[in-house]
Parts: sequence; structure tokens; C-alpha cells
Amino acid sequence: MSITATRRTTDAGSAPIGSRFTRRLSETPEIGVVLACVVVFIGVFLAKSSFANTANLQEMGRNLAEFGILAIGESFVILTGGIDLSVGSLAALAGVFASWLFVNEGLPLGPTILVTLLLCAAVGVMHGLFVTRLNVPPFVITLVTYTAARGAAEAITKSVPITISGNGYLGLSRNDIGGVPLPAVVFVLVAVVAWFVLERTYFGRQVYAVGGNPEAARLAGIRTTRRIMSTYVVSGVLAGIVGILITARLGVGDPSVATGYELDAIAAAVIGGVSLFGGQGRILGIAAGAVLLVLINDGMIVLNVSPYYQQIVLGVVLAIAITADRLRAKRMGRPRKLQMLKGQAPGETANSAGADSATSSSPPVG
Amino acid sequence: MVLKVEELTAEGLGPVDLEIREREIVGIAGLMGSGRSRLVHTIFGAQPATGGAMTLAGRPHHPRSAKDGVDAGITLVPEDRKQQSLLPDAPIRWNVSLIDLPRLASRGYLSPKRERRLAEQVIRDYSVRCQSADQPIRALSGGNQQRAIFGRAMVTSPRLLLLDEPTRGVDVGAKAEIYRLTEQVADDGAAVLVASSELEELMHLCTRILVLSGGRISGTFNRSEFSKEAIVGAAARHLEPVTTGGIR
Repeated sequence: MSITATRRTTDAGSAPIGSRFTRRLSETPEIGVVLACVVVFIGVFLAKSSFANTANLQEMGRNLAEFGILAIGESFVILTGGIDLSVGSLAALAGVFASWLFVNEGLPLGPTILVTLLLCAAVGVMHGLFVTRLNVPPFVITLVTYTAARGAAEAITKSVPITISGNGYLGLSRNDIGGVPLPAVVFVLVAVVAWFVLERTYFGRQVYAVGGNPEAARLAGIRTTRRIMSTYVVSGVLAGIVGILITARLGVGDPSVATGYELDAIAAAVIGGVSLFGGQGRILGIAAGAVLLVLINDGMIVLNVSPYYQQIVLGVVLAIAITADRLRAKRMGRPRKLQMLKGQAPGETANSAGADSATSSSPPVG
Repeated sequence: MVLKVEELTAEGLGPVDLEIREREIVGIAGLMGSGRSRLVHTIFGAQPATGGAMTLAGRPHHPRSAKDGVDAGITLVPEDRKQQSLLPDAPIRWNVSLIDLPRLASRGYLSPKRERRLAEQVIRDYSVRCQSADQPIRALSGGNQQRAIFGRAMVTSPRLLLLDEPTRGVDVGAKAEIYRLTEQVADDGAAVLVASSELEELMHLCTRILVLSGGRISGTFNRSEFSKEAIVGAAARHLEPVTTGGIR
């Protein structure tokens, strides 16, 4: 067995710049979604220039905050191989609960937000406990909250939405910083923090590891239950933030808001390259996925597309994203392998190719 | 003395007594289902002990999770690479740093530079044949995957290294390399416990071999007493598994 360390480095060093660039691109799968965002934006803008006026951009910024923050929270859970179906309902409950605290109980804005987010964190802890201690499938326990949270929201309002007044609360959505609506600023902050946590802390890496192979993560000394638990807390708290932003935008605490948002959040994550099996996906892609969803949604409204077709278009986009993901997964490692194999003996070619396709059989010689 | 185990019991295991010193490589032989992996996992903390006592480097060792084992200075190279070791779709870099993450990070911050340096060091020192540290590890052959896994175990500089079927599914070249590395670790002062179904492997590597049957030790052989017949005989000796309560 000869050592190829030197070969390896010379290979990398002598690769032409063009192929290195394309490899770099193929290692940044999010690029497809980002490009799609640009194309959709330019396309709609050319068809109707009012798409890019300030008012509409601000409106899209607020929508993006709601979808995007939910998608980021959802992605934390999906990265560990779970799923959180409760985020839409929990956002509705958080909105109603916050407006109830603020209007009916007369709590100041700060404590209102704090108590609401604590409630959402507690719901996240509950999800985590059920998933890790009782081995309840994530799908099932968050479905319980999906139903119960909306019920609780309705119980609080008794079917009469709570009207919010006061510039403090409403300003959470209506104020802007240099023209950028506050919710969009919150989204950017959440995205930056999430990026840092996932890519630059060992906590984040352990979250990926738990999703990539829970048993390997456990035997490597990672506290898998804590990591899983914390992702449900992140998802719950971010759903709470979205709930508060929604009520601030609408000016009422209404239990029927955010219906179906959990599916949009999952869709944004998947479009952005998050694997539903866990362990794969990055914030850049998730954010781009959310942007794409908002652009398409809003673009179709601007272009007066019938709501029926809007649903179909969104479905098609999701289908394209999933197909692209599968194709990429099949390709990953292979084109680079072919390059690498050019200088190797034929026998090794066969063996290594086997390594690529065989996923369960005995490992090949090499 | 690195590890002292007294009356250790766990599900399907024990009571087991054993001692391992620094620079010693101790083998665990036995038929399928004799409790080889269970013993290794119980010492590590990945499987809960139900009774008995362990002392690691002079201090009581009561691991309640694999994390406790890692924190105590034990590293396990598990039996099934695909199921228990690899993050198959993740880059080699991630796989190699997995156990060492807390130490690699400072106050939780994981420096990409330091991680890359660690990965490249492992790739170089353990001759992992690959194109770059960013390649998914599943694209490597079994032998190269195992070298990377061995490398990641070595960089944690364990005081006790647990190997479960360390050469399963690797070629002759990688096998010899793994034997050399194992001896190297022992020479550097660690204690090594190797569970294996390959008797030749144990007879080649170990200074002492313990034979398990029904979760209990049915024979102990020092290097001068090594003989295939005797070891196989001990492995085949029928010992009833003892079911003990959870006294601790």
C-alpha cells in the first residue's frame, strides 16, 4: 500500500483554475437556489416594475421574516433527523398569548415578549423530552401540539380576536431601520446567529453529527439527547418570535393566523438543500429557499395569477428542488472520483467504484 | 494500573474481573454472542453497568454514558464502521474531528483553520488515501475509512483504547498498518483492549487473552500459553449466563 499523500497535494495544486472553480460550485449546492431567486426577481420585475418599488419590497421583507425565521427553526430540528409540525400553530398561540398578556393583563412589551418566548421554549422542551426520553416519533408529538396549540389560542380568545393598540407593539412590524422593516432586520439577525452557531461552534457541528448518524455521534461522546432537545427549543422560540411579528403586522391576536406555515417552513428548508434525513443543509440555502418562496408567492400576486395556479406553481418548485437534491446526492463524490481515478490502476478503479455504490455490503479492499 | 474491573455486570454480561496495565494490549476472544462487544461497551459507558466496580487510573469509574467514557480518557473504535463510526455523507474533516470537538474548540468556537489542520494531520500521519479533507468519507475504501477512524481515535491520546473488531472489512495492507498503530499506542503508554473474532489477530497483538463465554471469563492466557486449541476450547466451554440484580 503506497502512500499517496504527496500525489494528493500535487493533484490539488495542479488542477486548472476553471475546474477548481466548478468544483467549488458543485460543493456549494445552494448556488442553484440563489440563482433561482435572482432569475425570479428579474423576471417578475421585467413583467411588472411595481414589483420592486419600496412598498412592495418592504411587504416582502415582512413576509420573508415570517417564513424565513420559521424555516430556520424548522431546519435545526430537521438537521437532527426530526420534524416539527407545530411551528404554525405555535406561532398562532404565541401571537394570541402575547396580545392577551399585553392587552388584557396590561403587561409591558418587554416582559410580554419574554414570557411568550419562555412559553414557546417550554413547548420545545416538552417536544424534546417526548422524542428523546419516550422515543415518540417527532412527527407524532409535534402533531399533538399542532392541534392543541391552536385550540389553546382559540380558548384564550374565545373566538374574539384581541385588538392591539399602542405604537410599541405595532411598531415591531411597522417600524423600519433605514427603510428596512424591523421584521426583516430580525430575520437577518436570526440568520446570522444561526449560521454562526451551526458552522462555527462545536455545538452546531454536533447537531449535524446527531442527524448524520446518531449512534456514531453517541459513541463519539456527544450528548445526543441534549442536542436534539435544544433544536426543538430553538424551533419553538423562533416560532414564538414569528407569532409576535404576525400579530404586530395585523394589529390583532387572531388564533387562525399562520395556518399551514409549518409546511412552507419545511418547503423552504428542503428547497434550500436541507436533507429530511438529517445531517445536511446550510443556513445560506435555507435563507435562499425562504427568499425564493416569498418571491414566487408575491410575484404571482403582483402578476395576478389565480390562487389555484399559485398552489400548483409552489408544488412544482418543491418538486424541482427535491429532484435537484436527489440528482446532486447521486452525483456527489462521483465526478471528483472519476478525476482522481485517471491515474490509478484498473483494479483499484473497480474497487473504489464499488465503494461508491455499495451502501450496506462488505466494504471493498483499498 | 490503568483499568481495574471487579465483579462487573451488565445485561448479558458478567460478573467479570480484569486488569489492564499501561503499555499492555489485552485481547478478548469468544464466540459470537459471548459478550465481547458488551464488555467493551460497558467499560466505555455506552451500555449501563448493573453492578460491580471499575477503577480507571486510580479513580473510581462509573460511566453513565459514552460521554463519561470519553471524558475519562477512553476512546472506542466500534465494531461496525458504517453504523457506529461514520457520518457517511459528511466530509472526512468532520469525521476526523468528531471526538475531539470540545477540545478543538475554544469556548465553543470551532475554528475552521484548526479543524482543517487536524484533519490534514490525520490524513498525512495515518496515510488516508483521499483527494481532499472535504471529500465525503463514504467515497473512501473500507481500509482508508478505517485509517481515518483510527486516526481520529489516536489524536484524542486516550489512556485506554478500546478496539472492537479493528480490522473488519479492511485489506491486508491496512491491517498491518492498524497492528503497527495499535502497538505504537501501547508503546506510548496507553492500555489497549482488543475484542476480536480473529484469533490469529489476538495472538499476534496481545500480551494476554481473555476468553469470554456466556458473558463470563472462561479462560485467561498469557503470551507463553497461547495456543489455538486451548483458546477455542475455553471459548466453547459452556458457562451459564448469570443474571444478577442491579446492586451497585
